[in-house]
This record gives sequence, C-alpha cells and structure tokens, in this order.
Amino acid sequence: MAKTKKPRLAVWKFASCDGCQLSLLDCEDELLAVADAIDIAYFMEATRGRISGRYDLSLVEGSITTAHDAERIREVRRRSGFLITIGACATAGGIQALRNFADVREYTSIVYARPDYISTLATSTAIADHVRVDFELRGCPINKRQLIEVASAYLAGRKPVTPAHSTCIECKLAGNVCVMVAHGTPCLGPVTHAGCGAICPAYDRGCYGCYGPMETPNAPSLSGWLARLGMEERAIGRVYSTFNTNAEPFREERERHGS
Amino acid sequence: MARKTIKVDYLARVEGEGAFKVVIRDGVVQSAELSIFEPPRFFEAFMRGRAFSEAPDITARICGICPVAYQMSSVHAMEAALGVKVDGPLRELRRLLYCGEWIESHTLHVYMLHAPDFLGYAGAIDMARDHGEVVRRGLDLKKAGNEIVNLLGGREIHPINVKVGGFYRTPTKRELTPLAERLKVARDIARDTVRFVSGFEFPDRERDYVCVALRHPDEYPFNEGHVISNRGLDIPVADYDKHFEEVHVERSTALQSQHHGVGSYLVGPLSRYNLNFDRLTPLAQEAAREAGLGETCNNPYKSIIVRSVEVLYACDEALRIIDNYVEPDRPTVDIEPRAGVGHGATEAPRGLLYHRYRLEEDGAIAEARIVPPTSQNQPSIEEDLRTYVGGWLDLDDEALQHRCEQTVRNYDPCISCATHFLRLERIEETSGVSGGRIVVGIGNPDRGDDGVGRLVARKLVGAMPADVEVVEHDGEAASLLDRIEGVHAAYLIDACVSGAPSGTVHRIDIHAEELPDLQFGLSTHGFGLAEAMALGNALGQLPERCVIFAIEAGTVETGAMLSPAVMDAVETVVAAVREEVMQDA
Amino acid sequence: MHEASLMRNLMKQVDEVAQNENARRVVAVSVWLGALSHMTEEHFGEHFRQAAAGTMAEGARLEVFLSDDPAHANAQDVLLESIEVEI
Repeated sequence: MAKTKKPRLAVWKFASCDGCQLSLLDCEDELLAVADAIDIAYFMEATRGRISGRYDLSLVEGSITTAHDAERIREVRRRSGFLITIGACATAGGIQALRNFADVREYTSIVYARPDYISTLATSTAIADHVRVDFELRGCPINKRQLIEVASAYLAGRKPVTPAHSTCIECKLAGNVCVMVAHGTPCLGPVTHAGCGAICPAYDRGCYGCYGPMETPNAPSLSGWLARLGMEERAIGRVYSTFNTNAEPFREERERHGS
Repeated sequence: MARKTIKVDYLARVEGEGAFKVVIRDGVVQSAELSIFEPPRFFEAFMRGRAFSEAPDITARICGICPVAYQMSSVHAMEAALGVKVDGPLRELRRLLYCGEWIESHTLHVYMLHAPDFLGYAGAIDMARDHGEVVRRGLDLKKAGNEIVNLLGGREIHPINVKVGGFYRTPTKRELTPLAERLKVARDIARDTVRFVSGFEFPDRERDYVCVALRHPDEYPFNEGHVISNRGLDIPVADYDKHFEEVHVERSTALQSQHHGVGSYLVGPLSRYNLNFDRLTPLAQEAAREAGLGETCNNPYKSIIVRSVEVLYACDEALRIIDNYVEPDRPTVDIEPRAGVGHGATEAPRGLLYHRYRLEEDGAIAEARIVPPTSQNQPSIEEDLRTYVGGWLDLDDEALQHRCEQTVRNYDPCISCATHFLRLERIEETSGVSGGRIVVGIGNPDRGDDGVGRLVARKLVGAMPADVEVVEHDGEAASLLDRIEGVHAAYLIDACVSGAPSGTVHRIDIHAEELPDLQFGLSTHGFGLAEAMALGNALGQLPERCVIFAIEAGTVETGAMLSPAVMDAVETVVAAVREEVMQDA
Repeated sequence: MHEASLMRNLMKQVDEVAQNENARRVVAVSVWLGALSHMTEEHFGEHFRQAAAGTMAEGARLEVFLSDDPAHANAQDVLLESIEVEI
C-alpha cells in the first residue's frame, strides 16, 4: 500500500517582528497534530534543521525592504507550490512602510550613527508587489485560529474561510456594546477587516485597525464620525497610519487628512 | 602559452546574513565576529510626531516574542516624562502580565529550541517523536503563560489592553480564579522542568561577566528598580545613557552597546539571577540549589537552568499576585500631556530593555531611543565565541558550527532565527611563512621634519620589487606592531633626535644591535617607534628582518616644511633603503 | 537559495586558485550541481556570466553537470570541480 507523502511546509521571514510565525507555535494544542499532517520542513524559529528543495506550502511573514530580500522572495516563489502571506508586513508592507513617505536617508541617520553602513531600500513593500501570492491572511498579528483554518483548508483542497467584512459584524456576534455609539469612543471597526474577533471593544477600547482595511471600506464616512467625536485633523490622519499604512484605502484616507 | 587544469573540489557556501566569522592563526583564535542581519525598520525615527499614547501599540511591534516588555518599558518611560505614577493593583497587574510573558517566552526557548539542541534534536517537533510527553508538558506550561497575557492583555501577541496610565479594562477577581488553578499545575511543570534541564551535559566554560540588571528593595525585578552591576554600578534608570553608549558596527545592522569604561557586559537571566538571587521565592531558590546552581552562575551554557528557575519564580509570583488581588476603582490613572523627558528600563525575558522619550508640550513624541537587550549582549556574545571556541578547534566544521550556535543560543537572541543562519567561516592563517616584506614611512607630515619618513616612503612607491609593500604610518606603537606582524622583513623610516647634526642618517638592524638612545616619535603620542621595537622584541613578534633608517630632525614646528639639511638627506635615505631591500631579496 | 551569494563565493574561489597558479586567464570552469540545489543549467549559466564579467574568468567556458540523485550526500550543494587556466 502506497504511503501518501505529507505536504512539505516552509515558513519564511522577511522584515518583521516574528509575531506571525510565533502564532503557529502558539497553537499549543494543535501544534503536534499539525506536525502529524504536514511535514514542517523549514521553520527557522522552531528547528535547527536546514532542508532545501521544493515546498508544497510556503508561509511568508515580513515585508521587502532590501534588494537582497527582493531577490530572495523570487527564489522562495520558485520553490513553492502554494505561497501564503501572513500578517500586515507581508500583506501591506507593515508599519515600517511609514518610511515610504519619508526620506529614508533621514531615517537612517536618525537611528544609525554610520548610515553609510546601512543598505536598505527606500520603501517597504508587500510580498504581492514582487511575486504572485496565492492567499493573503491579514492581521497584526494574524489570528492563530485563522492560521489553522488556512492550513486545514489547504490540506482539504478548499478555499479558506476568512471573511473580509468589517469588525463590526464580529463585535455584534460577540455581543459587545458598541463603544462608539454608547461611549463616544473613536473606533476603526467599521472600516477594518474582520479576523481578530473584535478584541478591543471587549476591553472597552476602540478598534485601532491592526487588521487593515476591510473589503471596500467607507473610510471618508468614518472620518466624518471621528471628527464629530472631537478628533482633530492630525489625529485622524494618524489612525490610518499604523500597521497597514500602505494598504490603499488607508493610505488614501491618510493622505486626505494631511498625513 | 600553456594550459593547466586544477582540480578544486570546493563546496560553495552562502555568505553573509547572520554570518559568524572566526579567524584562527597558528591554532589561536584571533577574532570572532557575529553579524546578525535584520533589515532595519527604523522605529525610533517614525515614532517622531506620534502621540505618546501610541507608544505601547507601536513599540510592541518591534518584537513579536516579547511585546509585553516593549509595552512595559514604553509606558514606564512615558509616565516618567508625564510625571505620573501607577501604583497599587494596577502596578501588580503589570507584574502579573510580565509573569505571563516570562513564562511563555522562556518556555518557548527552553522546550522548542534549547532543550532539543542539548538532546541532539533539530527542534521540539523532532524531539516530540521520542519524548512526546515531555514536549506536551512544555507546551502546556507555555500555554499557561499565554493565558495570563491573553486575559490581561486581550491577546498573546501584541496585547491591546496596555496603555500609558494603566489598562483599558481590568479583570475581576472571578476572572482570575480559573487562571490560578492552571498556574498551580504550571508551577509543577516548571519545577519538573528545572530538574529536567539540570541533567543535561554542559560544557565546562566560565567567564567573569560584568552583570547588569535592575535591583529592587523587595522583589525580583520586572518594571522597577535601580540599574546595578556586579562591579559597583548603582544608578537610577534616568542616568542610563550617562553610563551606556551604543556603537554602530559596520558588519551588523544592530547597534552594539558598551558600558563606559568597562566594555562588554551581560544582561538577561544570568545577570538578574546573579544580582538578585536573594529576591527569588524559596521554592525557586530550592530548585536552583537542587539543580546544582550556586547563588551565582557564570557558565552561560547553564543559562537554560536559570531560565527554568525564572519560569518557576514567575509561576510563584503570578499566584501570589492573584491571591492578593483587589479590584482597582479605575483601570487607569489620568494623564495630562506636557513636555518632558522620560526614561524607562524593565526586565524583558532576554534582559534589560531601555526606552527614552522626549515629549513636546502637546504630548507628541519629539525623540525616541530604544536599546534592546540583544544589542547590549552582542559584544558579550562575541567575547564568548572568542574565548570558548579555542577549546573546540579540533572539531570538524559542522561540529564546530554547532558549538558556536550553542554559544549564541545561550543568549536566546531576539532574532532566534539568526542563530540557525549561522554559517561558520573558519579562516586559518599561519603567520610568517610567506610573509612578504614591507617598507613603512613613519611620522607626522604636518610637523616639519617629522614628515621625512613618509616622504621617503612616497618616493619609494613604484620603485620596489613586487613582494614589497610600501605604506605610511603615524607611528603609534600598537598599531605599528599590528601592521608589520606576519611579514618576513620590515624597513622602517622615521625622524629622530639624538643630538647629532640634522640630516644625519642612522641605520639600525634591530636583530644585530641594541637600539641606540634615539628619541623617536616627535609627536605628542608618547609611544612611538622605539617603544614598538622594545615591545615587539619582548613579545618575540618582530619580523625576521627589521631595519630602521632614522634621520636627525632639525625643526618640528607645526606647519613647517622640511629643513634643508633633512631635505638633502631624503635622496640618500631613499637610495639606502632601495639597496637594503634589493640586497635582501 | 541566495544564488548571488553562492556565486560570489564561487567566483572568489575561482579567482584565488587562478591567482595561485599565476594564471593569465581562466579558460574553463567545471561545476557540479546537486539534484536538490534547485538550480538549472541555464539559471546557473546566467548568474555565472554576470559574476564573471570583469574578472579573469570572463568569457570562460562553463561546464555544468546536473546530478539527478536526490539521495546524494551533496544533493543540496554546488561543487566547484575544477578550473582550466592559461598560464
């Protein structure tokens, strides 16, 4: 009886904080079961083994910020059957994309005494700006439940279920009180991509949009509400200018408010 | 025009990117360099102009493995700048949150990376095949830590509930009770973990580390205390940047920290332990003793035991906090924005994490400075590699590389992946065999006749055989010795003063005669050619052939030209050097 | 992975050997590619031509042997077998 080979998984890191990769290791209950179904062949954070070759499924975390990495992602794409980007850095360029709107030379000299030692690109860009991506999992960090969903879907040969509607729907499903309506707390929920389970409103806090824009958000309308709640122009620009600052709807809205 | 085929059989290697380069000369380690390349993300730069309240959310993204540490350091620094103190139950909750991160982070390191390595496995998943129960218990322990962070912080990675002034929402006593039950189980696993890791085989390596950590009058340190060292340092956090400085090294994008007047130092579990053993709970102290640790530990390979002891302490401390918890009236303290400077230092799992902010009148961030523990430890890591690797040189490349990775892994660097990227580049050099020859023109070109040595050298460029290098040098003894090290023959030209008429040329063969009473080094440096020769001689480091041409100086005024007598002597010396070099060939 | 880096390393080795022989130029370079080195001959050739430009190996004939044995000990590697020089 022939033994079906387990799909080979690789996890790659570019410019990022490692948090999204860690999500996989945070699936403490599922980790060993996952390892049974998938051959975790290349995962620097979890193993010192170094195997090369082709991978059936590649998870990519982090954005592209150097010429070397721009070359490396092409190599990863060549070697991967299916490539999934995980997290705001990989899907939108991350918070380090704030450099795209500033003079990166100035940034370099602020942080590094010898800026000539640093070779970096002027931009931080999403993986999809460089290679074809088969699926994007949003979040900063991603939700580990959604990561399991993505892995399961891949194994079952179906499309992952990760709704792109707003966080408001998750809030309603969780039975939260709307912090904006009830307390006048500014909240980005109405324009933010679902996935986190609406954590912030459950903690009496307004959403700050770490999952990036939902599908076709109405950011100008929300900005109007934020202004009515007393937020001044600069602050409104800033709320769109965080971990998904380079995602188009957020970037556009940020620019409309002078950020 | 002949052709020749040379069999090479060389395995190509990937260079750079988390490279570790060891240079060995004649069986002795000369240098060890660790270049961890993490693409720069420029947090300190783009925090400028943001509101102070954004600091905990933004800085958390510096590290996905220890976001709580960044949040804690940032809020404490901001509160210092804003003149706010967070006390009582809110303060205790912050300690509880930190316990969660310590448990999670240390356990991740111990079970997923370090223990498997000691036991010869590639990682925890491999180890689970043979030691399933052990790995599962480890994952349970890690999960308990995550549960604390999840409850108090909203989620495990990049918690959302931390703010300047406190929290957005605090837990009820009832919400903490089930957590306490799980922590009691976790504490047992932690106790077992100390036993488990203490049985590993540890290399017998020790060094007298300069340990730096926080110290608090009552507690094992998390968020508060003075910064102290085992060399007598005891300063408030606000004085940190008077004593520690960051240096940017070319081969790395991480900045390296140096302790003024001391050099490399160590932060992290070993330092905390060495400086605060008396603040551990009795259970943690007992576990440490049983594991064979004294009240101090200077063997970095045993850091895995110290981390496990800290996990045990964190379980104890978490249970104590939950037991004594009184629900606060408000989740946060009121904040009024104002201009100011604030410093914060807290103990991240990997060590001291320092933040400094300057705020504008409206609370916007004008300047930000963040010093992570890993950048503070990098010089120490390199020193470990330099010091310990010498004992493993007889191993083959792969085994040696593994030992080096182990040495780096002791520090649980925040770029854990980088340890796996280590590609050992072992460079074996043997000195003196084919050596080559060198002509060195010494002096200071801006001080009259002191520039004659260099002028002679310049005239010799292009007039020397292929194996002779011609250089100029300022005459500083130590670097001069370095420069001529390993050559077969050195010809040194310098100005001198001995009372003879200016323009007189002396030739001294160092190995054939005593160095006469000539005063070299007319600069203010102090240690010049004579000292270099004496030192080199004493160390047996002088080249086989070493000849000095010394020209009597007339004037050494700053800005003066060469005096006529010395100018006349230049051609004589040039010819003399050339003859000497040709004769020796 | 890191083809450019591997190539740099390889060229450094070619250069060193050629220098040691006091060669005037490198006529041919012979390379063995492992089955799991994920290089194709064309791929490797492209990179080689780029890296060799301006060095003693510019215009050298490239001989590539691509192994098909994934179980080979060096299946993941690239091996510089030999170089032919003009002295």
